[in-house]
Parts: sequence; structure tokens; C-alpha cells
Amino acid sequence: MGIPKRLVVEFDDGSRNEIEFSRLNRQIQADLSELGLCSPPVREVSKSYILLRWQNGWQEIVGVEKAHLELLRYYTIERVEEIGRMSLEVGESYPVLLFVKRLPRQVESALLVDDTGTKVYIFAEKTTITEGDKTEHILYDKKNPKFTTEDSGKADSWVSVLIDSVKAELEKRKLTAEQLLFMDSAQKATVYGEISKAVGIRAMEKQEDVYGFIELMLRKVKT
Amino acid sequence: MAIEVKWAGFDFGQCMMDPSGLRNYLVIGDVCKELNEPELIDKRIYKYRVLREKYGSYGVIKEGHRDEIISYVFDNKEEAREIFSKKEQEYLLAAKGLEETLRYLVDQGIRLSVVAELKKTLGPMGTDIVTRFLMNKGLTEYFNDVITPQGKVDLSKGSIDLKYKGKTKEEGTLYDELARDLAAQGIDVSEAVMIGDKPWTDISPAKKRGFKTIQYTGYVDFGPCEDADFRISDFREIKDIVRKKL
Repeated sequence: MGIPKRLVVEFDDGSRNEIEFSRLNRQIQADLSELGLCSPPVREVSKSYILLRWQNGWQEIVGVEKAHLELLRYYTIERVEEIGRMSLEVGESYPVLLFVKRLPRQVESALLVDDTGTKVYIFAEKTTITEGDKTEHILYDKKNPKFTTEDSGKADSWVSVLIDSVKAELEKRKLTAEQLLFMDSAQKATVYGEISKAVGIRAMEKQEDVYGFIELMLRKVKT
Repeated sequence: MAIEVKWAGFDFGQCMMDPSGLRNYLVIGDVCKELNEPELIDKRIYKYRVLREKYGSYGVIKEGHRDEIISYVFDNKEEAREIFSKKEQEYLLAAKGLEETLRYLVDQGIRLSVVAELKKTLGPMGTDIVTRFLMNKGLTEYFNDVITPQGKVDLSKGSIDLKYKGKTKEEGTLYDELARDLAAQGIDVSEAVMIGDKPWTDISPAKKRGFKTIQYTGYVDFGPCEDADFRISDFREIKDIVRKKL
């Protein structure tokens, strides 16, 4: 990668805004490098460094923003970790891959929902594949005839239960779906948070997913 | 060879209570999700691990530095305190074969106590980790009391007897008091057995005072201890070792 000169923002009308790359602060340069647009900026010298050398000669360095380091402990933890991998067809060349870290083998079903419809999948371990010290417990596989998709009725009834719960929460607050949808963002976040707690839905990774899901349910209440 | 006793004391942490279900991702993760802050899970798990490096073990943090879980890990979010305790209990397990063994001992007519190194001041039943665990797992019916350096909790009345206050297992002063307490109930120390995993708190100090001792190695094996009369890795082995003294 060469030396970056300018950052250019091109608009849909063909106009462009640009700025000398050297005028960007370090954080923006670092963010751009994370997007793969340039090399990371040379950072200032850390207060301390640790150089690790492996038995085969491989070496790695890590900076620590503290001075006067002294080793307290070094140990490894060996333990069997179980992680769920959920891959989703999205009509593109590559599937989307999600990781389920919380008790993955205890997930019993999944509802896939968007503006256009719903699908439900029931998970049950039907196949186990062992390769060396790795074991895969297959709870659903589209390509394996042992697994079947649930009929749309189950998905619809799951969504209906959710919508009814959201409706009940709206009634408790003497609100309509329209009124809530037109509140400002901060107010909505508070009420969405309360509703999600009341109906027992938590975010796996991002709280904004909870808010988005409640908003989707509100749209369904409205229609 | 069986031993004949009238009383049995069980150590709590890593003994009758098996913490192997307490994974950071589950407990810290669930608390963050309940606080509507799932984005902070990784950061808080990191801080919890830092706390462990400071104090050496999660057990030490929980028994002596619990407030730091809230102040340091959860950024002073007071709301996290109750949720953390609830989640912690949810993922704690009763040791394998424990209830079956307790049932056997109670059916034999042996009196049972929990003998725990609790450092936090006792409050009403269910507010400390030991009685909360017993209540959540449905084990209170098997035990008469919980004996700790903070006092003895009578599980049938919920009352607290403070004569054990300040006495510890490691120094042995708790066993001195226990010996007097048992004598008042007509039980000699030679008719009492202490079951626990740590030689320096559960086995040697009890043995020196005349108790029978069983070292439990099912969760952590601290190695053979000459003061242990028996070593077991599963509580159900107690059924072959202990009989009621008539």
C-alpha cells in the first residue's frame, strides 16, 4: 500500500469533497485502516513493550500503556468451549455467519422475521460428527433430509404471541403503536427497553437490535 | 470400614456447591443483557478477569471483595448487584450425588450442618450465598444449621446465633466452638465427621480436635492429607463409609 494523499468523498450528483490525508487525526486514520483503506498510522511509542518468543523462534510484540511492568503470572487455561455457529442464506454469494456463545446447545428454536414474512426452525440434535478432538452437534442442516422446516403456521402463531404481548404493554402505557413510533429517538429507546424487558427479549450483542425488533413488531401491530 | 457418627458437617464452596457452571460469559453476559448493555460484555468480562488476577481466585473476590464486582466490573451500577447474585445462583450446581447422599444421612438419623467460611455479615436467610444456594436447590430440609465465622443460622427459625462470630475454620477456633456446641447436644467430637476439600480449613484443624474427616476431591483435589480418614471423589461414596451411631 502506498502513502495516502487525500480522502475523497464523492456524492451522487458527481460533486466531490476532499481533504489532505495528513490533516486527518490519528483516530480517523486508524478507523480507515480498519476498513482496509490504508495502512495503520504509526503510533507513538508505548510506555512499555513485551516481546514474546515462541519455541520455534516466532516473535510477537505487544505494547502496554503502563510503566514499570513486572510479571505477576502467566498460565494457560485448557477447557472444552462450546460455541454455536448459525449460518444464514441471504441470497448472496456468501452466507452470513453468527456465533451463539450462550448455552448454544440449549437453543430450541429460531424465528426469522422481517417486514415481508416469518420462518421458524426447531432445533434438535440429530447428527454428531467427530473429527479428531472436535465434535459437531448438528441441530439443523438444510441439506440434510433428517431436518425439516416448520410450517408457516407455527411462525405466524409465534409472531402473534409477540404482537399480543407488545399490544398488552402498549395498553398498560395507554399508548398506540403510531404514537410510540412517532416519539423522538430517546423516548422511544426508553419505552422499547421497558417493553423488551416486559416481554423477556434481550439483545445478544447490541441493544439497538432489541429496539429495532420492537419497532418491527410495532409496525406489525399497526398493520 | 465404616465410621459411626451422629453429626456430619459439609463444607460449602467447591464442595457441596459446584461452581463449574459459573462461566463468565453466562453470568457477566446475562447481567449486561439484563442491564440493556450487551455491548459491554467483553469489556466487563475482561475487567472481571483482571479482578481475578488481583485477588487470585473468583472465590476470594466473591467472599471478600464483592463490592468491587459492582464498582470495578459494573462501573458502580448498583442495579447489577442483585442481578449478579441471582445469575450466579442460577448457574451454581449442587455437587453430583449430593442430594442422594444427604437423603441417606438424614434417613439414618444423622444431624447435618453446613460449615462454611462465609466472610460477609449474615442477614436474613436467602441474602447470603450459602442459605440462598440451599433455598434455590431445595436443600434446606436436610440441614439443621449453617455454621460460619459470621454466626450460626438456624435453618428452621432463620435465627442467628453469634457465638461463632469471628471464629474461623483455618485457625480452628470455629471447630472449638462447634465441639462445645455438639457436646451441649450430647454429641462427642468422635461421633462427628467433617467433610470438605481443603486440608488447611476442613480436614487438619477438625482432625486435631478429634473430629472424623473425609476429604472430598470431586471438584478440586488438593492432594493427599494425612489428617483425612477417607478421600472420596463422589459424595455417594459416603453411603459406604458413614453409619448412624446408635
